[in-house]
Amino acid sequence: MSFDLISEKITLPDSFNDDAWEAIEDQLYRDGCTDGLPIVAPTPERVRRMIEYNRLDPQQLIAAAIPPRNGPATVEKIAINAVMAGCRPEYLPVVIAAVEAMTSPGFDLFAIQATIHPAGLLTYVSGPIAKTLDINSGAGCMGPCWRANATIGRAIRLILLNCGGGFPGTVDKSTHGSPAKYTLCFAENEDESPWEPFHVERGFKREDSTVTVLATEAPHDINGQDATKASSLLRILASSVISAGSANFRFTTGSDLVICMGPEHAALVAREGLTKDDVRDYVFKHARVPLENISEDHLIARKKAPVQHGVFDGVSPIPVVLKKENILILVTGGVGGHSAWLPSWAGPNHRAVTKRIRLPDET
Amino acid sequence: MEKRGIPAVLVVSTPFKSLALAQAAAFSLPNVALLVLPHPMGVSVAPETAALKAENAVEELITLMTNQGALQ
Repeated sequence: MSFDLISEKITLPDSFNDDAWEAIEDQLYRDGCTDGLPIVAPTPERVRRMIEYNRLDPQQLIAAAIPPRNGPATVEKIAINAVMAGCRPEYLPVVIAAVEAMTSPGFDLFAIQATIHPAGLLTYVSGPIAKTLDINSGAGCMGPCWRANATIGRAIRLILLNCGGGFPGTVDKSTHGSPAKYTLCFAENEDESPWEPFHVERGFKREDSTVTVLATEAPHDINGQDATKASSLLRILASSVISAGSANFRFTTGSDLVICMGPEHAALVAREGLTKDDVRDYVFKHARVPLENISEDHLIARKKAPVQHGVFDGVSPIPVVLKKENILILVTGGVGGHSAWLPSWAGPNHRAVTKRIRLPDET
Repeated sequence: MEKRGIPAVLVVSTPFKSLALAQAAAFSLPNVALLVLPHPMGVSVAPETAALKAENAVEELITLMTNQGALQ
């Protein structure tokens, strides 16, 4: 196996010192290669160390093209961005699996990169690797202070930027952008979930670890502190996701929507014998936007273009997803009576993709 | 479509020109026929304003449609 790195290199001045590091950061920032935060300089040594740790060929092609720029995502390119993001070498397999997932056939990455919607790329980890890598699944898992959460999600953003060309304003046309575009990575709270792990639900072995990607907005809180029984909580969940301004509602054509149940909420409904599918079933049946909440123009658009917006019979409240399988139920977070929901960017058929994470000791 | 012999023009509004050019470059189509209309064209302008912008662009659209050979 060759460990030659072929990416363009920045030549350091002879009088190398701390100022030179700042010069490198400044140059990468000026070239539009960073997210605006300081980066770890992707020196050949650091990039090589990350690739060698994972016993990978730097020129192995993980994805032929990251749209719209269509830059290839080789192991080397992915590792450069992961180093810049601050990833430890052992995080690389998660980033690689996420790249495989987001470039899978049918996953509309071009549209996600170019849309005016504020779509981040949710990177959700399920399985034993979450503990191995200390990916936060508990208190504050969608927030700061965990290196794996912060840097794996950031690496994905830098890959979308540097391989895919998704720079705000020129290619990424998001009206406002989103804090979710910096990083959006967290893990399943498997220890406190009353149900089978998410990756098992999706057909993987319990000992597998997986990463699931979906283009979503930043999390929206669901405060269900006063719920003491399942029926109360389910009503809160269903009524929280019926925003008539969400992309999921505007395009009810088969896209996924995420509900992250806090462990206390999951325990509350499981105590009454309900499964994840029961939650999904209730939310699908009850998360419907009443017609009085819908603008006249939107109802006209529904009638004119059902292929784009979803079928509408003219009288019934409109569901926020096409079918119940479009609702992903995750268990995440720490103590407290809170859950969260993440509307997806809701392209015509935007479904989450799950990939198994391959570890270095696998052949 | 042009490769199939069907005249084609890519129509975008001003802010989307950069995205169109990035995509054209990615597909090695530097001479893609591109008609750029003044933004906005959607919900934030009156229908008659949008119609006027469209009418003003017809001549350039025809030129781009009928001059495809020059773009090769």
